[in-house]
Amino acid sequence: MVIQWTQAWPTALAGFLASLVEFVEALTVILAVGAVRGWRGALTGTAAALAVLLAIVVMFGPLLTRIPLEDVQLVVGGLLLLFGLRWLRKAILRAAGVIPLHDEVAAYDKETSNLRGAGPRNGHWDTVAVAAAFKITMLEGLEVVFIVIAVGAGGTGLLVSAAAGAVAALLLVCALGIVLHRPLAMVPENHLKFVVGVLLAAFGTFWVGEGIGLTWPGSDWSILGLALGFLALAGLFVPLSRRRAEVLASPVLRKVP
Amino acid sequence: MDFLKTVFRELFGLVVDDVGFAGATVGWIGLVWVLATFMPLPTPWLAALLFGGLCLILAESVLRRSGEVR
Repeated sequence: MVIQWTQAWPTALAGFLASLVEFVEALTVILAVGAVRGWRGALTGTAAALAVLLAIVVMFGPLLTRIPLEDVQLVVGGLLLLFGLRWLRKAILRAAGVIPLHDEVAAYDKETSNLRGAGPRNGHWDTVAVAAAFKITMLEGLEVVFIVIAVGAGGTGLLVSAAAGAVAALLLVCALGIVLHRPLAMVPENHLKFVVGVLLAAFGTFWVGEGIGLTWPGSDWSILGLALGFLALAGLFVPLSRRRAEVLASPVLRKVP
Repeated sequence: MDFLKTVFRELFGLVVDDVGFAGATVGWIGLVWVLATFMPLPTPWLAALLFGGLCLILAESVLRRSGEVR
């Protein structure tokens, strides 16, 4: 099994950064559940969701190897492209101030408020705590599984690289969560989402092209070229988007006296 | 059952939050696939065409969303 480093390191980096964002979001809710409803329910719900995710990967993962690589690349690459472009679009709009930035502290406050209003525990198990922790771990975990499969769509070696990146992100977030015991607001999540959007869009475009049967100029190096292209486009459209939003929101155009 | 609905909604939401944007992306992929299959064009040009079209779709969507009154 030969892994080309020109594909392996961007794959691991994309897996790491994208998973880091998802794990930070999950940690915020799990911390809120633990702080308000107790750690037993929070950790039980998280562990149960991780077990279900592992079962899904073990059951369905081997099926992917039976499908022709070009078909996997086209379908998974197409989904990754939709996912990455959606993520990049949102990151550009956030950077331009058109939509609000994601704030982990605000998300934590909202979640603790909701959990306090959910009523007292009923019986031996706090079902509210278990369900809340299970749901967020499951949802964010499914996104991580999808990202790992999608960015590693080029073969088993790349899947290992992407999974290694995701595991590194999981360990980092777990360690920081245990040490800090508060939402990881210091993680520059909005900047990370910008970079991740660029990387996922680049990988998605590359895999779709491969799936269609196109020959990329520079072969694997074109992933870097695609990433730089999407980054340049995004950098150009942040100020353009901000300016357009300001102009259209001005009192003259909105006919506000 | 509600949880499964939530999971499917979230999974769908992973890739589609603007139907027009997602539709244009899929349509462009389909068009390049048709060109690659039936037209004798050099594939590096088709690769560039794929990337260029995606950039235009992204740019149009960003500007359209920016123009919506907040």
